[in-house]
Amino acid sequence: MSLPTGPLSGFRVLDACDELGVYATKLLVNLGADVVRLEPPGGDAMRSFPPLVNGISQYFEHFNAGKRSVTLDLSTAAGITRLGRLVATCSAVVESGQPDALLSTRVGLARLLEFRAGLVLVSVTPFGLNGPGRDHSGSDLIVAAESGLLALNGRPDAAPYRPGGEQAAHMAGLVAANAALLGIFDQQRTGRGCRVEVPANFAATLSTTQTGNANAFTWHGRVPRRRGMGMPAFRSLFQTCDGWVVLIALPGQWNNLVRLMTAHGAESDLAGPEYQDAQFRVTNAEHINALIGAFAGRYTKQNLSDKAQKAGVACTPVNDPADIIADPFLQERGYFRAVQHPSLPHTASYSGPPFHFAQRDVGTWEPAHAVGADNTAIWEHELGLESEEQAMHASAGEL
Amino acid sequence: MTGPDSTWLPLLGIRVLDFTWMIAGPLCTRLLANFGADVIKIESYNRVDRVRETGPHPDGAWSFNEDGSFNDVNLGKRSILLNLNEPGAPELAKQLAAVSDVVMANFTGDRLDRWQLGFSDLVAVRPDLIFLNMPVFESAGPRRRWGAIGSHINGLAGINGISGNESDPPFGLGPLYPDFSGNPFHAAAAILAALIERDRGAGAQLIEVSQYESTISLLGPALLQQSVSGPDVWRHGNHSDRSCPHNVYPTAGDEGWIAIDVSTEVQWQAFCSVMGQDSWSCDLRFGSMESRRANEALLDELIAERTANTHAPELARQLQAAGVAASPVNHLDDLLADPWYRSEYFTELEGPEGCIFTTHSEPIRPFGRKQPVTRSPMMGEHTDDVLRTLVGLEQPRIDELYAGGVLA
Repeated sequence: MSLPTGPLSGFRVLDACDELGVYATKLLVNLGADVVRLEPPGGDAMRSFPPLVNGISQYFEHFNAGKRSVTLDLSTAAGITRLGRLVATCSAVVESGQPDALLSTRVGLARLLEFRAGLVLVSVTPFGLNGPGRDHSGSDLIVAAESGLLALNGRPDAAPYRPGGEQAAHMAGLVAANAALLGIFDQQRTGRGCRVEVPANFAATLSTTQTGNANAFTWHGRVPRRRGMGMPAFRSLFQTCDGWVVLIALPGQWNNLVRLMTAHGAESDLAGPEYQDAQFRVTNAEHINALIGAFAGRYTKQNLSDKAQKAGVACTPVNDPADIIADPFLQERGYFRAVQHPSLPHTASYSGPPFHFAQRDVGTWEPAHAVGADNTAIWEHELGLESEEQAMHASAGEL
Repeated sequence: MTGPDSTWLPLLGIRVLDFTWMIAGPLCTRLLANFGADVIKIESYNRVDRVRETGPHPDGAWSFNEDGSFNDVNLGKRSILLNLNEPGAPELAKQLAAVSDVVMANFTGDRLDRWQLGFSDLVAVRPDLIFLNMPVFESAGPRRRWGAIGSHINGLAGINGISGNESDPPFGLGPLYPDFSGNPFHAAAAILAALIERDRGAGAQLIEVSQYESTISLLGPALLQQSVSGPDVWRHGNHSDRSCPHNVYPTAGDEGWIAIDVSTEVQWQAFCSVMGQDSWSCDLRFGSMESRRANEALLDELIAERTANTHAPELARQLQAAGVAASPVNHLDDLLADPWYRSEYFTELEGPEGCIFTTHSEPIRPFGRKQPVTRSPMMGEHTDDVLRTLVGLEQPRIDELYAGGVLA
């Protein structure tokens, strides 16, 4: 197994995240950092998150691919001492969870900061470390609800739904990775450390306030609500013969859409001069949507998207995971690589990083390491500590 | 750690030449500006950033400088006018690149190359330049001209396909989610990592963040799961395979909903007690996570009957006090009315023409403090200043460039 490569090669980050912040350290390992996941003996709870295949959590596997794993019993003095030796070699510690469960709370913030002068400590919590919600329990669903992200999805006449893939947690992780990077940048230049707090609800609220919504409320009393298919004039989802597309004639694309439909034999009145008036189109949106719907129904979602994009109309397929895995575009770009996990029967497609550095192979395509797989390498080989067995013998001798 | 007395601005001294427009690119450079970078936004009346026009606008006022969206996504930047289609303008941009650390763009196709402002052109004048492009798909290749906005990318990248209920069309997310999540924050992370590496002597970097790949990267384990165990039902409404109950339930009032997440047996007992339903706690159908999951439809129905006449914030308070994760389903107006959000998340700023804007600070809180922000620039507000101090032009020459339509 090899360490990841990338711009952060040579920087070590201690990963003490639960599911709320774990995407942060996944990003850092994809940028080349040596991310060491700290687990209790026996492994952390995420290793049992479904779905499990041959006892391997696909959830854990995805978020921890390429990270190293060490175990420590933090209830013992020896465990704390070892933690101190490890933290002394880290640029940053990234932690997430309820405030009382954070590593910095369990070990003591002052003690953690003493382990390494100039440490960057990033603390992700559901509702902040100091606010009135400090002690409230939060999960992806609850943070999505509190932050306003959840209310915006679904039919107006039914219960809203949370975004798939745990997006409130992803937003917290995205923000936390940037917090860690800002801290490491400053640390390298000045030697100073920092503690950066990321309340997950504030991160997720970026989706609610997005671009001017707060002003729309303050000035005009407008509150964004979920719209299902969208209001008629802004409908974007259309059904094809094998699934759905998102089709929106962006500013300047109306004539392209009309030409596309006419060129493919769709009988319609849309070429009429009255449709050049945007307000007329809004008034007749239902008629327009019916014609686009009939046209879309003749094609597959990929075929329609190819045709429309060629004609200058923003149309893309609505994909599910199988479509994405099979997309030749991603295959050609090498976004996926086949990885053989030791406990799985066949190779699996591991995702690459979300950025490409030209002419470099940045990222990691390694399985997640087994619980404590790096104990010997890190404690003994890198930190020069005696093995746990030796430590036990030594303390027995003292007795 | 109490932190320094002054604002934490680690990027002080870093300059970003920003060709991006709309939302995703500008939100990346907004983050960099709010932490100290000098972000210079290239603008032109020949190609006005659409976000200066989309609104909202305050009642009775309309100008490029008072757009409620633009002023949210361009905090702390400087703006210069430069019509890159005019002879001489690309050369000025190149001179600015020579004194910049980072160049960021989100043009489709080869537009910058045609102005001779592509990566190779700019590295010639700035050998350690970090250059990031953020195409929808790719900077070169057959999908380089494909157009899409956030709504498309939600669908394309699979978020619609794993959200909501199987029986519904794939509505996906209401917000233009990729524009303020993966796209800006992946781009910022790549830029920051490259800046860290540059301080250790690394040379120029050309970075591409494909908006498609960027958003696919937020799907969680779904792609790995697809690859390992094959097709699955991806849309489970609000249910979870780690908690039960885990759903949104109706409460009293218009749009009254409460989200509840019970992930342990201790929480389940506490939940039954708060709901006044001790009979549930000894009902064998609900006796373990597994059995609750097996009877989830029935359980959801029973819970919804009990929550329907409650007040969501009050029930959430009671559940949280008993250790159960719960929250009312908030809308924007709820957050704007919340004292903690008002004080620590939202910020009011006076715009350049006197209008008061409501924007927000970054969710990154150095030393637990709200990061101060400053207002967005007027169209071309800093043209003269930037050209004088960074390019070394004298005012008469600047006036000529205005007259000749280069600064327009």
